[in-house]
Amino acid sequence: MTARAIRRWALIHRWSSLACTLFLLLLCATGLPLIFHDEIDAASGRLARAASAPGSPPAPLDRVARRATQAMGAQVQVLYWKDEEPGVVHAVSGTGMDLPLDMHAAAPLPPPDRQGLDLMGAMLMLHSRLFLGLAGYALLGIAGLLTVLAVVSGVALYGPFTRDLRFGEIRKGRSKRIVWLDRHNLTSIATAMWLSVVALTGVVNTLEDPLFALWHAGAPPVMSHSGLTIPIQQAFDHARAAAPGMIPNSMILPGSPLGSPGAFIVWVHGDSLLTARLFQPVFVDAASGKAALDPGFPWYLTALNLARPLHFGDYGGWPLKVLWAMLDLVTIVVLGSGLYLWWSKQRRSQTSDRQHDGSALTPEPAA
Amino acid sequence: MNRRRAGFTRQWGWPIALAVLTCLGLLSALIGEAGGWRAFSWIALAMPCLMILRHIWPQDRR
Repeated sequence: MTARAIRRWALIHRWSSLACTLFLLLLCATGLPLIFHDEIDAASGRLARAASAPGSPPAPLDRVARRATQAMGAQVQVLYWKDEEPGVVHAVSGTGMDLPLDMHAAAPLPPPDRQGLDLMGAMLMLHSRLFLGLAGYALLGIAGLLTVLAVVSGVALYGPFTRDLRFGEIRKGRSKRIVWLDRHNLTSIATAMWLSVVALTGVVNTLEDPLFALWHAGAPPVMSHSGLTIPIQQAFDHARAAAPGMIPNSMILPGSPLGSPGAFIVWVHGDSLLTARLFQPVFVDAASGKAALDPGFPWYLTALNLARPLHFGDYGGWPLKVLWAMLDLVTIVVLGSGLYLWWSKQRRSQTSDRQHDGSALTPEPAA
Repeated sequence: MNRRRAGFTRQWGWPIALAVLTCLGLLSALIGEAGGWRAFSWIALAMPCLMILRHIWPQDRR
């Protein structure tokens, strides 16, 4: 690599890194507890527990929806189920209220501990959109792309900077700056692939709302629209029959902005570890009850489904979560050492003007 | 030519190995739980962390 090329890569690396470092520090700090959100939820009493005995027949969904509407004082628009809450069904109102109910007795359950909910909810809001709504998504998406640019330029610089060194060599008896340069090189090259994957899947996650809106705008229209509506339970049964072997995850009632005016949408997923990540909608005509698995499910929502686990690291048991946390901490070291290298370079070029500029841009000779 | 290739392997051998292991580890946990896929993903993704722990303190040249 020529000296000019090195300078150019160094410039790209410096500015892309500086632009995303503060965002990344925030994301690493808020992401750390989010890795363990399942465990924290369970420990802080956030999960609802069913009161009735398992094995009793579930109540018709119409009764569940009626009781939930009464209890919340607002029309139910969405029903959903959680794997980790057996015997519980959640009802969501148009105003965003979320009420857990006993699936068998159709009775409202005590709301989960609000404090734990609010703390983890705040973490998630900060991590996913900085409390800024759509603008936050856009900002974090750009920060993710800058992160990838910083990784690529960093890998390009790794060659000239470590030419005369063994892998992972931290030079002894050298200045503090050299020691941290070597540590920066070691920690960043070892985690470059992981950080790239997490950054790119994070960028895909920031596109969740626009991608979903895109699909929703082009979702298949319903066949008839007579105003008559079949019972919720009947629509649910038809959806299950149309998607044999699939597990229902949520049901969007007609009239919800997430759904369709003339149809129920039941989101189902497979039961193997891989297909459990792939959600698909079943459309049930609200008047005729005719149900069909949407065959034209777009690839970009499948990509979104796969990007989620690869970003969260919650798909391979607790050891994977622990490794995710360690890699998160290593990323903080990468960011911190990078900041230190930039700061010490600034200070050095200020204190000694006579020194040849760009000493940090050209490889330091190895001892 | 041979010396250049040896230099490349010395410098890029571990970085490339760790990148490939990371990819395989991320994918294998996605494939399945049974048949050691999960255990493999733990080992593969632990390698970058272990290599960092092994090298992070200054050492003498061997």
